[in-house]
Amino acid sequence: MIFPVCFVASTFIQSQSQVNPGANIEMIPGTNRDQIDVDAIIQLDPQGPLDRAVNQVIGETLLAGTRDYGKADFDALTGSTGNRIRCEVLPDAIHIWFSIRPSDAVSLPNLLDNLLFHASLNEDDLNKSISNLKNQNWDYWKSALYPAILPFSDIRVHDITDEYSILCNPSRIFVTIKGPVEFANLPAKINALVEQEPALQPPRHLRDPLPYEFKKANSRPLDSLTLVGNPIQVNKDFPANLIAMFCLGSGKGSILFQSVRQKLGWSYRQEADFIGSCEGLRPTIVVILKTSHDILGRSMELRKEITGAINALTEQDRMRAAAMAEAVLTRSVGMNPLDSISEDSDSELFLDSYWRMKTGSDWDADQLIRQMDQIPLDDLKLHLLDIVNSSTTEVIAGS
Amino acid sequence: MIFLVLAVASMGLHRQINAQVPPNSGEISSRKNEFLPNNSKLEVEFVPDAKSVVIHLDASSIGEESETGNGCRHLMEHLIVLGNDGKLDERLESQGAFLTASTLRDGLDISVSCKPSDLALGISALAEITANLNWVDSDLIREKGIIDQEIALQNSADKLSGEAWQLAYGEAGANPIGDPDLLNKVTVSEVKLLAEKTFVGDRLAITIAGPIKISDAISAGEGFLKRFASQAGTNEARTKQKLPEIGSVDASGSVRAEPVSGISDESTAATLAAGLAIASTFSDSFFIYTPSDRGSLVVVGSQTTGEIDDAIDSSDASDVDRLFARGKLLAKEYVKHEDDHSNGFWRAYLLAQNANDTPEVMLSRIATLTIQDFRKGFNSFRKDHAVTVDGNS
Repeated sequence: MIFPVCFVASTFIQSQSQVNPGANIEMIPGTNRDQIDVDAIIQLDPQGPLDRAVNQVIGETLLAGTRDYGKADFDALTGSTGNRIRCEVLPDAIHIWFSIRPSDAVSLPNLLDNLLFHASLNEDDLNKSISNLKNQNWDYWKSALYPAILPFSDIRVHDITDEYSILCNPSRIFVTIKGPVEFANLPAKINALVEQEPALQPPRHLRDPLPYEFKKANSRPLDSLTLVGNPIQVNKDFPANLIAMFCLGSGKGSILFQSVRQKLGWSYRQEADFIGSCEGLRPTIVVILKTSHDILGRSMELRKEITGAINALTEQDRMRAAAMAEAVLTRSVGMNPLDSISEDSDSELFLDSYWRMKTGSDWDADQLIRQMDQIPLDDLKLHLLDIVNSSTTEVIAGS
Repeated sequence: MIFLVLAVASMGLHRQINAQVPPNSGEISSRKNEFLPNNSKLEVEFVPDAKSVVIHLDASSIGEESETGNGCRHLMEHLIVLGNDGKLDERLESQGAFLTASTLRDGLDISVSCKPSDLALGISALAEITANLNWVDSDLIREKGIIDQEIALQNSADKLSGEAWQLAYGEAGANPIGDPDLLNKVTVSEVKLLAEKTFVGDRLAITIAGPIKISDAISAGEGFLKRFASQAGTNEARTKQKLPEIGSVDASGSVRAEPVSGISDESTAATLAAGLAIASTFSDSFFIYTPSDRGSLVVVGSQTTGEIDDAIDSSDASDVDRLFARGKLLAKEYVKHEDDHSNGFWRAYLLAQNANDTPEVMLSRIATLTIQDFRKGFNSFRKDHAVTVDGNS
């Protein structure tokens, strides 16, 4: 059972005279649990390469320290559960998640307030983060999903502090908390702090509208072939696109497993995943293979093979995809095409926050399953063909 | 997930921490063990609020590295799961069931997750897998190619850990994922022979967990297991090489590793606690432990070269003592987590090796750990005692 608690505060902010809309906070009771799980999202605006680099730096530096907490404090509070605090920067959100002991629940409101509104972002930490990000060596999978090369060297400190002031806005915050907490008190305490935060909303525009530059080479002998589809809106057509992704990549009866792995023998790892973006969810097909001398030829063959498999789909394939969707979304069995949106291990908790940010509605797996089950085979094929035909190919060649 | 940020825990090859909410994460209200006349083992857990039934069939290895070269069991894993017609997965998935298979350091794990009403479906899938030994050369060629692709995906932690095993145990520490050159020489008849030796009562354990009647699950498990003949065999213990050893491999980061005995050994618990405590002291750490009665390894690693040297070799006695309570707590949480979140996998893997091996045994050893034990465990990771592998890229 979920108790949504969305606080609408009416505090007027001194400097801007704007209404603080409050953060979107949802509490999920969890009995028989010895920890409180917290998932928080800060919504991002559409970004050019520089904005994206700036947000990466914010995410990298956020946990270095805040007004009231140092890194060691975070570790002490969250490390005792074994689920130490983490932060990732997604294309459309900064995502923070952690667990604490129920006995530390009293610290939670101030901890969240610090994380979401009072990051120290001191210059030394920022420079260290920029250096780390410039030198980071992403693995083949993350590189395939996020091939953009970001201009970390062009960042100035005030770019970061400017951006952070924009992000410190309660209307961008989506929090989900699960565990044996005092539901009557905790959200009120959180919101009492959130209400005091300014709701600054300066005009937002792309600082850097230049096109992205993409990575073309891997440092390992692995090629990645990625088909990136157009962003899909989470609207009435979404169930058809979601079952299309189950059909494409979920399970060993899926199109990718059967064609790319079993028939062509090209790869051990091939997936169809949704990746978040400010414009919607991007369907993304990734195939990783040992370096080949004909990666471009293979990219064309991949499209042909997938298209052929789509056209040959039967009612049995549709039913398999629907059954996989049910197994994945209600029983966490098998591969979920939504899992790649975040690194978060507790994908249900993440989806609770993310779905509210993306759609304004609660995540409702049962409804999606019912809707997917109603998609006829011909519609499924059309949506699959649309995903593949509208996609662009990105190739990262191995060394 | 546990330590999850501070340490990527892994049971070994292919076994990474489940990144999803486990289907069976509820309170276990009852558990029952059965030992069959053919020496196979069965454990059933009633998990009232679980949404799936999860069946794990585990077979302990026959220590075949010296006979067929490492990787033959891995190839067998790829072949058996094809089922009678190569369509077993599709048939299961059409009914909302999902099959996974993993080759581990000292065993093989096959798992089916299905709806609570589909226990018979899951058991029949395992029966099909263990009876299907009718492969042809083209099956082998295809799966060898896919394993070749799989080997290429190994990350730095896999490579560093794999090298540490080789340094610690020589040939007996060969990586079960396989060596492409050796695998190319493996024939259909060799894989069949390995399967026949593997699927015998003495090597098998099955766990069934979910919202099911204990008696139904025992009946289903017994019905499956009783078809296997008993065939006693002993696995040779791995012989530890002379340590310390230092090596390098084409990877980034570095590891320290310490050989350990079976899970009932107190020094294993101390090494486990010390390894986890060390991993908790720096940010991009990882931790890998594969329980084994034949001799195992506790591996602590860092994705950044040099970080682990500071964490271990720069620690003085008082630093070590300060980590004692944390190490003990983390070891306890690690075992509980692996047990709770694997839906019977851990228990099946341990049981297949030794009927006396259970998570409870590990927990009891951890509970009685003394600070003297912990100091020994910690010091065993120092450079002048342990296996050190540094990445050179």
